[in-house]
Amino acid sequence: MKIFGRVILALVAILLGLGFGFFSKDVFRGDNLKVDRLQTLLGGPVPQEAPVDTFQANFDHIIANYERKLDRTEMLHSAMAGLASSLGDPHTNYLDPEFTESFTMETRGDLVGIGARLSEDPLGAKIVSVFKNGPADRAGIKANDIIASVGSEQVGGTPVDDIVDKVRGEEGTTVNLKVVRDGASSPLPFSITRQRVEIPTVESKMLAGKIGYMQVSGFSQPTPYQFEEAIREAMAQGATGIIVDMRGNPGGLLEAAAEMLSLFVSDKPVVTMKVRNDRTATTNTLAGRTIEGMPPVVVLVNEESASAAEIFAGALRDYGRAVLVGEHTYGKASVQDLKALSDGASAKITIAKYLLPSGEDISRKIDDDGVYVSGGIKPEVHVKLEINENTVFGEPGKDNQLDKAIEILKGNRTGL
Amino acid sequence: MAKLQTFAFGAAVLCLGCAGVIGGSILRTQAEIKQVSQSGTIKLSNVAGIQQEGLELSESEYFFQLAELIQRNFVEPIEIDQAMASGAIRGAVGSLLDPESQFFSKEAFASYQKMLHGEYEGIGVDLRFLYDEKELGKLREKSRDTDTLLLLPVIEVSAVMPGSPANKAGLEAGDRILKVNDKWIVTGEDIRKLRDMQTQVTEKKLDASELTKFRDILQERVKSNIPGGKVREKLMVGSEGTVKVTWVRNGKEMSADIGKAKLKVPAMLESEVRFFSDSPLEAAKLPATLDLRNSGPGDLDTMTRLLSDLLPSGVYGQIVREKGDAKDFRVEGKGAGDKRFTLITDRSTTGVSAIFAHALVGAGLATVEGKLPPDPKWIQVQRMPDGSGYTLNTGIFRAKTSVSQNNSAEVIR
Repeated sequence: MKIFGRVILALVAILLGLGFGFFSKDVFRGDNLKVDRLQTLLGGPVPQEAPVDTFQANFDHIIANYERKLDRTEMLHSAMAGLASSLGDPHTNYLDPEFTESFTMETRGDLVGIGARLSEDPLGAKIVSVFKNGPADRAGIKANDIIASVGSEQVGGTPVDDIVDKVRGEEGTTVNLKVVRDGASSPLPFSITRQRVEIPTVESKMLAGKIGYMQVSGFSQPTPYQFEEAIREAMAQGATGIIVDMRGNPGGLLEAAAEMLSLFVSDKPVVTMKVRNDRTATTNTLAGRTIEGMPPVVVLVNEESASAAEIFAGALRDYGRAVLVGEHTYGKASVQDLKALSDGASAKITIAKYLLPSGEDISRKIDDDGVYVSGGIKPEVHVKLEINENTVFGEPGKDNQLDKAIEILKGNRTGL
Repeated sequence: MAKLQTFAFGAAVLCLGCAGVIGGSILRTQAEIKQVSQSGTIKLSNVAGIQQEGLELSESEYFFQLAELIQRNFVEPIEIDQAMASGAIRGAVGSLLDPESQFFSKEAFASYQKMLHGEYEGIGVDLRFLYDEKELGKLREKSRDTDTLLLLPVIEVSAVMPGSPANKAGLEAGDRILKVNDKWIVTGEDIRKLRDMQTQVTEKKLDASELTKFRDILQERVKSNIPGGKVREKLMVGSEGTVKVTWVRNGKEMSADIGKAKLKVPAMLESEVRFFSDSPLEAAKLPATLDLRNSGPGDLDTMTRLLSDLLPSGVYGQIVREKGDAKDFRVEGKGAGDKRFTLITDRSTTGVSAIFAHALVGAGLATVEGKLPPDPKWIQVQRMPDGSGYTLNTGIFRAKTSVSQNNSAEVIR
């Protein structure tokens, strides 16, 4: 009798365990129990044709019958991009291994190279700017220099991306460059050791009238540090106002935006994220990081300001810490996470939608033809950018949105 | 002692329970795999994050890996379903960058299939997308200086169904569509013109004001533009409402509000021939003169069947692929091969009808009145389980005796 009882108990334990194991996936996700999975296991009805088989059969059909020879791996990558976009969410994407690498490098905010931005030039590659204290800077390379050869190879007429590939390489190795400089009679040789360099995402300068101007081009890991440095430097120089230019900033790391907002408000919500099944999670700014005596701030935005850039601008506005100037922002009210796949590729998946501190939902609405209808943050001071031959972003007198920001700070609308 | 026994038993029960949990979750994964793949192409060892380092995954395993990852993390609950399979194949077909290999949404594919049965929706036209071949080649070779804007297609009417609203409004094959509902189709040609003007201005061969003028015009067009895929939908899907179409012929611009309708085109109307799958043509009843103009979309099997009624068994051509190989086009014929035809063809003779014309002329059974269209492409049509579908360019059809007017000397054995 006793043994019988024990056997029953053991059986019950196994069955309970099996049941829990089977449905644990649903329980952890907070979904309803998917009983149809159990039916499938017990030989119940399965869909007429299974999606995975449909895919493989058609994939093979295309490879076998298409008029040209195809690369299986390349077509697989394109197919996976199509899979991701079938959800109808423009921000859920498949990134192939190559793209994953450059994407993570971008968010990590560093790369191995000489620390310079290059652009196309008939003679080779033109140096647009050198990163402060980077290897190129220390070796004495200057903006407007033109790289004419890399190693023993002449690079005139080579696409700039290919030149970049040649200049980059293993950390600690040396690259020999010949550089054409205005005023120099012959190309100047440089020998530079490749190093890990931080990509600057904050570029700042002091404008006339002691207005600190900082252009934030993205949100990567070093951005909060670079941003704080720029603000402190502007304040040390006696800035009476600060312009944060978020135009064209596509966003990046949410944590970076939260950290930057911590300089303005302490322990306040940045965004409220709605994850699956209406569960919410709130991200707050850090406590005790605010900068005292911060001068009035204007944030410049436009339709290319998205994601973390919108959160930054929207939160500052909601807490009454900045006036927004420019045009409406993109309206990307969702958060993505990067998940790795086995071959070095990854999936960028929308894991949450967010609301601004005020509760505002800024999600972009478009019509059938993909034309913007509504959404994004509407700045209090709406100024359309005037584009003509003289327009230069970030140059007072040549950038009417910036001019408006300066005018507001000079008029010093108080209460900021 | 008894206490110890009870304790040991309790631990054993707990272990059994745990084993149950593990077993249960393994069973669950198996059930999920069974739901998405019945052919068993997915091995358990390759999913659920326990795949081994360096292991080559099959395409279906890779598909499952990504689909599962998205399903687990996406903000809204989703299923691994046929829409995902279709999405993936849409991506694969799109990567071919081939105007003859197109993926169609459910709605578009339904109307495309109806078209293969002679039922037209929309205004009653078939469209041809023309791409800049040079730029297309660059893109296929993954050249970095590819200018994707130059790849915006020019959209031309390839055929007009007789008696259709488009026909009544005066549209003809060869007309170029400029605007739909006053929205511009911005083409690669426009972009090339802009680029050329930019070069001319830097070389001081053109006044800068000309460039500014054209740039402003183009900017306006871009602001209210309609993408190519949408044009197909607006003109070829649905049977209600009207659509305003603006087109150009020999430099002359024309415009009309054209109603959409359902239109049934017969396979045979006097001498006009079309290859619809549900109304097979009888060889015995064919007149000596066949009008193949404005005839394109149709069913390959229907066309092949007609050929087999006319010709004795044999190889009547090849499907030549750029891969280097060629597949014989063999007809299991029961015809005598003695009936002769005069075919009326021109640019609007496309697709299946063009293959028919080439095969018949190549077999020496027909002469052509008008211009024979260039070597036609052998396009397969594939349906997906969710109702979407795609066309696949499987090669160029070359008749037994090459009949193409541009390389008439070439004979294929």
